[in-house]
Amino acid sequence: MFSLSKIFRDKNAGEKTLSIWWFFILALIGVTIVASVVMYYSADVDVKEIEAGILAGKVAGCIIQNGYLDNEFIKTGSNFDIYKNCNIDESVIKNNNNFYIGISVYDFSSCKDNECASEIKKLSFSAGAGTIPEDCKTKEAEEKKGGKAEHFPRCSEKSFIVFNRHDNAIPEKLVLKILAGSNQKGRIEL
Amino acid sequence: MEKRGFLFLDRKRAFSPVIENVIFIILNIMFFSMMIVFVTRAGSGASVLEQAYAKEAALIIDSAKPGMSILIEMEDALKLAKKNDVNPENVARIDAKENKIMIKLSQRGAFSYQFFNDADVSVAVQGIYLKIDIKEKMQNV
Repeated sequence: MFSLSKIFRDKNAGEKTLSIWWFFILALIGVTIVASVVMYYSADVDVKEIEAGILAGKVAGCIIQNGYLDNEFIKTGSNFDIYKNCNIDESVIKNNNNFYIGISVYDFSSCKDNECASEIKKLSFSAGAGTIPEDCKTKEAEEKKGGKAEHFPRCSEKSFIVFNRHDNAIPEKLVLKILAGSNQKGRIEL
Repeated sequence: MEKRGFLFLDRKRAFSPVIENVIFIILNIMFFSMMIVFVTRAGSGASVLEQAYAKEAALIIDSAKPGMSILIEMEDALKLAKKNDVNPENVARIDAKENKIMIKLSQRGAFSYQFFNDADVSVAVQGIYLKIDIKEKMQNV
């Protein structure tokens, strides 16, 4: 019959060797759990960088016409209606803070080794989440240290040498830099 | 016959480790098998394929110009959708208001991804392909 006293008394010592096999099994179980969790949560398709590249390319294709800066862009500068002129959906760029477009134009003569000094402020343009350029720099710094920064945005910067034939107040030969960023992850719809 | 008592607590002889080890090994094998099956199914499951195809389609839409028609082969996704009782017509959908494409391969929901191309986009499943048509957006008069 079941008796509490028999649980705590009447015990004989037994002998059991704690072999290294036990610790090996425990370590294997732990490693399997960790690996399974990592594999499950890393099953992600990250296309942010490609998306940023497509966005930068789309903007470039819109404001550069046969090597010349688009007249509409030169006339309007920072007030350029990029959405209407480049067929980009305004609500997607402005809402959700997932995208960024930045345009900077420099005097070619002030540029050396990909660094330009004299920016033409009249032609500077930006749209979307303003924090993305800094976040991209943070991400690059983190990756140089060996980190991942998976939840940070990805940016794509494209530089072009273009010419101006519409405004005499602006130098003829220019360097156009387009910075586009994406931090879109997508959403599960229930 | 020797009395063993409840849960063998009355046993006086030395305990044999063989049965205990065998049970432990069997439980380990069961545990590892379950983990491997779970991870394999999670990796090839609907959620990953939904994500992959939604993003692929969105990037293609972003790169496309009005007048283009694109076919994306998605045989594996359509097979999975059929297995999960999802009608092929409901696999892909465009939300024109929010400019996003939604891919649904199971009853548990869909994965959506926005595209920034300001065009009139329509999708349809044709056989093993997803056909994407890009047209110029009609301006409201």
